[in-house]
Amino acid sequence: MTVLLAGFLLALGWLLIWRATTSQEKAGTLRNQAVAHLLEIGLYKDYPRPMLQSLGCLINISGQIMRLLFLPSLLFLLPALVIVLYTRALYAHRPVEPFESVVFSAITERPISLSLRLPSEVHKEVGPITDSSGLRQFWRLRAAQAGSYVVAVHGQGETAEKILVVGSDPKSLNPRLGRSWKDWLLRFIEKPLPGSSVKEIKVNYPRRKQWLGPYPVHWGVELLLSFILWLMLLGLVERQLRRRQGLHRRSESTGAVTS
Amino acid sequence: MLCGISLAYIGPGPGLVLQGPAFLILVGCLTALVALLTWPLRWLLRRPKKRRNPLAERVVILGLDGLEPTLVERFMKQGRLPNLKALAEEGTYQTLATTTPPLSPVAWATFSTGVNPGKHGIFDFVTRGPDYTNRLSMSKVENTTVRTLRGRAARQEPRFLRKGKSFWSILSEYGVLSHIVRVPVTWPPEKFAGLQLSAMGAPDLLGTQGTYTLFGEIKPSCLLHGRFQPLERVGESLRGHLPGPNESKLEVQLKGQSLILNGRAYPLSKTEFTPWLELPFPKAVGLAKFLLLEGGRFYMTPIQIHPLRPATPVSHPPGFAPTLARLKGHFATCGLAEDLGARDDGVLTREAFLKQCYEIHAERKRQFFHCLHRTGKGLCAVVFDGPDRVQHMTTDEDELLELYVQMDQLVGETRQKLQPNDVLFVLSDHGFKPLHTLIDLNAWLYQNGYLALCGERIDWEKTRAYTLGLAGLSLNLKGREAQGVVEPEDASRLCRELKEKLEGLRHGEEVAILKVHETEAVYTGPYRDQAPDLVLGYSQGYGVDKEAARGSVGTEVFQPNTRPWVADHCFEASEVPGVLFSNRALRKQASLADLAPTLLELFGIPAAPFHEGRSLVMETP
Repeated sequence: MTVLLAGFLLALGWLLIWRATTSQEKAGTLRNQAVAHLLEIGLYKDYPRPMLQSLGCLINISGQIMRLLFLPSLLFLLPALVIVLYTRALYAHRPVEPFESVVFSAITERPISLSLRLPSEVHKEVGPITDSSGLRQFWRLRAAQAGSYVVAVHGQGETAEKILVVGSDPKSLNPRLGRSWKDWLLRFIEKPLPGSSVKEIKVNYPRRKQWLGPYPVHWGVELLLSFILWLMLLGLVERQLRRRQGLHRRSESTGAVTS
Repeated sequence: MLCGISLAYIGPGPGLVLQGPAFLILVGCLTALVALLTWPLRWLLRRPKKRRNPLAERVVILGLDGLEPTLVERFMKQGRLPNLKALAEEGTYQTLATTTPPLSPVAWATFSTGVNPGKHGIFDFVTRGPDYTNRLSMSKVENTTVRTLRGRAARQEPRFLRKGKSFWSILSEYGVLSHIVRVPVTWPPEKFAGLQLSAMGAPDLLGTQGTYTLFGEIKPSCLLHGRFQPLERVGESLRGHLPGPNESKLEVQLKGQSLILNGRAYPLSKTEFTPWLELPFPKAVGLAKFLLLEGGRFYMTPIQIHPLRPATPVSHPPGFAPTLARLKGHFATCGLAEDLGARDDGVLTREAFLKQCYEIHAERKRQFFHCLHRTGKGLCAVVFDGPDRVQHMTTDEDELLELYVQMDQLVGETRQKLQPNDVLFVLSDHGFKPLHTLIDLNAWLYQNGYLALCGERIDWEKTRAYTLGLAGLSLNLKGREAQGVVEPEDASRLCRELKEKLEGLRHGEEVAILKVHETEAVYTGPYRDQAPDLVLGYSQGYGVDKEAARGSVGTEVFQPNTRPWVADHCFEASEVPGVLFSNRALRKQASLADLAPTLLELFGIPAAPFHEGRSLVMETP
């Protein structure tokens, strides 16, 4: 739902900036011309020369459309980036299921020995395993029931805490907790790490997948579907606008209107 | 892409909007690629015939309907038509013999097919029905059944009535691309491997050849060509209905100088037409322009078939008209787009009518230059009807000069776009002369005992001859007409008798009818029996009374022409030849039927055996 809302906000924001900064009449004319050149390619399918001419015109018109989109895109870049980054940070992963193993890791500034303090519902399966540099240590954990659990990482008298979310989809969650400015900005749902020797704590949550019935949907398919939805919405919006604005608009967009 | 796997659904957002142009290019490139890859296969399937020694890569035909040779020559001498003069000096200028009768549908059908009317079957705007009714000669709508998912369904299909094979069909068999833009007698559009935009013959959305609508409170005494829609005063506004096809209607309201249509207000002006406005009837969308008139009245053009969403095809392929509309703006699709009827009824002033003609001219010019640009090799033929329409309604020297100067500019712009090896033809199908006296041929037949009346209606059982249409006279032949009385064996004798009496018919000192042609003498071919039995060649200044042409019978044979329709071309063919210009030297004594074989020879294609004309090309390959 939040992703949809983010998408809606992005679309709305884009629409407002696009309408405010671009000549809609020119955009309509260009769109009509683009569609016409596309049609022309089909009309001249038996005659390569005019067909390639039409293709050239289509590329030219597309370039003009891109130029028209440049200013609103530039203006929209920052807010879009923020929304996308936040959404990615908080919703790109899903919580682990009860009895599903998850890798929990911590990075320290210098090689030290760490231990975990776990709530009773969470069990340690393996760990700690230290990598060759001695800076990164891994555990494999498993929770018996759903909930949000605080896992404490203890070492050299200091303690850092990280929330482990189990089976409470579709909540937002934080796979990584650190001390950098990015963590401060993006991981606001958890308290950032204090200035201890633990630099970063990470929970390897599984990637969130979209499902269509029992089948996982590839992101490429989602992109295509959303594109189709976009085209449908455009048609619907246009129809509504035309109904609201009367009959004048099509004439304007084809450049036939003089008054 | 930035948002990764699970965020791909952040859309419909700006990312996708940004990808729109890229998507367009992708689809365009893919379509072109598929077309290019399958082109050899399609080429094999079509197997165009082989051309030999073509003389030109590209031929451009600029048809200027009704351009009068005497005016052209006079204005050229005065130096007012520099482009036409330059074209004549570069190649050829001559008069172009027209058809009998010199009417646009007949003449352009001969131009298209290279045969006489007896072989293409178009003898007038209208044709004789067995029940004495006028029927359109160019097309008819037939009831057919089509297979649908739910079984068979009744449907109305237009049928093209012009017979013979057009030169563009022959060109397409040889793989030559043709753009045929608004050449008359092309509706419903022919199927061939080229592009065609229909013209004369194409109906309006009501299925007529162009019915304008006059909205007002008080009904005028006589509207010959249009319909009246009453407006009721409600408070400060006038309200009424706009009837559409299949008994549908839209509400209209006139408030001050604003037209309220479908809930939106449009400013109306007495001097400027509105832009094309969409009329969304429940089953079909039309286009119309409006003009405010005096006394709380307003005028609406015939409802055009919408080029973007045509209720019936107005182009071949069907996507051609929408493409042109998207590229060059909405346009009039009705065959007779310039509203002669509204001017003739006095609803439009001459100024308003001229404005309408030039607006349509500008539309067509944009379409023509686009098609010319796309015709790198092949044929681009376009007909501008403006000269015909304007000259019907004015004999004013300044207005005629303005018209001819505009046509000259069009020729100039076209010449600038030509390549060195291109061939240009500028031609008109007939000339124009003033029309001062109207002849009611039915009245003459009545007065001379060939036509009988029963009250105000024709008594067909006692009628031996009658007139329908602009140039023909038919016998009430037994076995052909529903209540025919003339025995077939008496037909020739009666025709000769009528010819003798009508040829040289005088009006005071002047000869009103120059010649009367018997059908056998002027037509050959399988469709000759559909022609009128006699074709009349009127003297300059004399023309058929429109009411008589519709089958009514008046009291006076000759009447002074007091209508705004002040000039015509339906005279004896030799009186109103057209013009032919070309940038190539051509043989003399050209006729309309010569154009088809000439074009074929230019493209290296032999003339068809049925062609009656000769090639005008002087060069040898």
